Amino acid sequence: MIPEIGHILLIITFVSSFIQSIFWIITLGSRNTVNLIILQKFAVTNFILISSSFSILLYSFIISDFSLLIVTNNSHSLKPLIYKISGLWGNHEGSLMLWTLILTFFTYLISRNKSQISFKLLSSILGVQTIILFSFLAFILFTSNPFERLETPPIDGKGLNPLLQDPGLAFHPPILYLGYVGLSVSFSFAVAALITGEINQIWARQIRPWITIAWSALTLGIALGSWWAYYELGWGGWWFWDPVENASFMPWLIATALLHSVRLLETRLILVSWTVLLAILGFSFSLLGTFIVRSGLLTSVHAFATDPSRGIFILIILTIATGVPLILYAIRSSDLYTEKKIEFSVFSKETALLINNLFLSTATLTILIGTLYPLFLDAFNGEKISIGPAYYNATFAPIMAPVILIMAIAPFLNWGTKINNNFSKKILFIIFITVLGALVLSMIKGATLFSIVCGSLSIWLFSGVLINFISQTKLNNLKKGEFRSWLNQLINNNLGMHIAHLGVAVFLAGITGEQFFKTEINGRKNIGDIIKIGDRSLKFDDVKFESGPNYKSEMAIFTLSKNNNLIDTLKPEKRFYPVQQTQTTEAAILSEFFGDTYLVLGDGNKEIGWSVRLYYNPLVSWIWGGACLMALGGIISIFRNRKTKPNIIIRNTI
Amino acid sequence: MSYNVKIIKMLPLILFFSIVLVLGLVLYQVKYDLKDTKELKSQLIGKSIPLISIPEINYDKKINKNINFNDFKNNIFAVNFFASWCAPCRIEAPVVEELSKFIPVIGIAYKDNAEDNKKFLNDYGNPYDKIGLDNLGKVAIEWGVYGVPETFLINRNGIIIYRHAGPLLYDVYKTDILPLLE
Repeated sequence: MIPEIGHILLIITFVSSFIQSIFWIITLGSRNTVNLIILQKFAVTNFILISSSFSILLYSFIISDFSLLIVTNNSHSLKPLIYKISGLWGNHEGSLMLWTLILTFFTYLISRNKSQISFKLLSSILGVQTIILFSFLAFILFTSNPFERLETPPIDGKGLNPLLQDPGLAFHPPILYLGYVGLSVSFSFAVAALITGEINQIWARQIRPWITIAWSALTLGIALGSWWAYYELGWGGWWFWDPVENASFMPWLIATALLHSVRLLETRLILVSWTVLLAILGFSFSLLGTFIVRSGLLTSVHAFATDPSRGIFILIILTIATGVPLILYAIRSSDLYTEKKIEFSVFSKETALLINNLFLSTATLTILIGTLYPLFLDAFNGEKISIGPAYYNATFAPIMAPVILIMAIAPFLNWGTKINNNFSKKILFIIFITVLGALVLSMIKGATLFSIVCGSLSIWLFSGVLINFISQTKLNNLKKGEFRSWLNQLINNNLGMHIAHLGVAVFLAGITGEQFFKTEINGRKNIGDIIKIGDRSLKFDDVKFESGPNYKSEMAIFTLSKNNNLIDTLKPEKRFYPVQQTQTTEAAILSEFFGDTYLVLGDGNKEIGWSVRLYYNPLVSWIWGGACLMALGGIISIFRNRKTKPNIIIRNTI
Repeated sequence: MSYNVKIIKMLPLILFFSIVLVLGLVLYQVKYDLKDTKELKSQLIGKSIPLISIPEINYDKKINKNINFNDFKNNIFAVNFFASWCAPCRIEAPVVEELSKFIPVIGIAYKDNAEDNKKFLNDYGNPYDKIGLDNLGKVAIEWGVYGVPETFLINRNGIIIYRHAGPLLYDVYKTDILPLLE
């Protein structure tokens, strides 16, 4: 009975979101503020309805109600509570429920906006959000109903994919969805701007926190996914240029470009239509990602339900959601705002941000090609190819290098034509530090040209961020005193940006260590064998067979020591989950600040020994540390208070 | 309201629609391909039995010996991968019993131990002429087994002629296996 209530609530929201969309379209030209108030009320009701329906589904998961198909397929009564809950979004239907929950929550937050944003713009934003809600509810109700019942409920569930039973992954989807749905907000802003013809600095100011939230969430979500791939999958890598990874990386790149172009729009009122286009594309790429993952075009750990009829539905949503705004864009964007010719020198923030956007969008394009090309080729002549790291190293990496170069300098460039006085001094400082760093790097054993370039870029950025941070904070005469006012000053002095850029430097350092200086040892080892890694030694002590709550395990025990002093015990494992008939590899990882010792157990037995793979990955944890810093920087910058009054430019064309 | 359409502004739209068009095409093909791949085809059909020795479980005599497929030469027989821990194997047990009335059935206990296996056979009946043990899952790999239960039919020349993945249900037995036996 209870699940049916959840289903009915969904249907009610579906019908009412349809009525709301119609209401919005009818009242589009009206100047009556009452319409906005009605739309705001709708936003609240939608949020309440969807969260009730979501709670009911959550309840069914918590009590393990196996009469629901989704619970049977994705849960098991023996599973820990946290994984029962994460089982909700670890599948196609449930993840869509989470998606709509976040969507209605964000719409509710926008509806409470009390700033100078005009009521026409706000009602259009709410209207577009409602249409998105409507199409997703249609998708849920017609192709992926989470409340589907089973006629004969089984005694127990089929469990979750054991690979997905991991804290890193339990939070990977919801955080990623925060990002995707956040991009739907900036999308709605863009479409609303195209409809109302209203775009100005207030618009830019209001859209920025949403882009920042989306960007930070995407950063964190992607990092969590990559961290999970590294720790759980046991492939010894952290990024594979898998189409599914690319599907989340493309929206991230677009969001990054958007974050910077909106800054130009906010301060200089240039790149207006470009920013609108990026805002539309950000969400389109999220939808494209959804399509790639769920249509059955790909099969991987990520591919939820491979059902082409769902693929068709998403393709229709994608076509309408991107097609209509792009038509609007083609017709209206030239009318949006006639950009004044502004002057800026080569060494200005404008140039830097323009280059940033140019390169980031080109980088997105290379990934788009790399992701779609194999699909197209397969479709046209059945040829199966896979595009791997070689392609991306040759295309993506060189495009990103200039972005890094400029990233270090851009923050201390001035707007307009006035060149910063200390510019040459600062540049010389950065060059000096980088050359020094490159020399040190070239002395490390195993250093290659690429490793030096990559490492130097990281050092370049480190020193750039450092000198920036110092000069900007000194410039504003940081007052010591109460902690909060001190912190506020820091935040208003671009603390968020400094931290995010520092994150990129840390991330690059991690890549340099992991890509160019890792050691890999493969071989068949038996109990008693000793493996040397640098000045440490790893001894194979024993193999044990144990059973866990829902799996059987084969566990090897290794001891890592330096000069006969025990450092740690490593226990790589192979697990067999009988219910799902799957085997997983649990790599044993000793994670230290300067590097990870990563050990994987392969097949074997006492007679012939076991195949063992060992990696030493220097600085690898800096990769995720850097990503976390980026996300942190984003979150901090949301709290930035922008006092300066914008020039208000409003053009009503309807 | 004036419309001022420039070609450059149409570009994103044109690019986008061409991508969508091709994606739709790809999807269309996948939809048709899926119909073919639904039935798991075994690479082994039409080939002879994989040459891997399978230790036999013998509860009466404690002699270690391997299953000798030559014992069944000139006979149609079935090989059934099962396990005591596998729930669908319990469902198919009566059908395997039925099958064993017509042809010999060799059971291969996949990742199982002898004791649990004995209990399983006591509870659900023992339709097997011989039972092999595959506790490491090596045999299953050689036979290309996707998961237990799985059933193979072998003809008089020792060639695999049929494979069924999943529990052997009555309708499969009637529509697929019985005609083959005739």
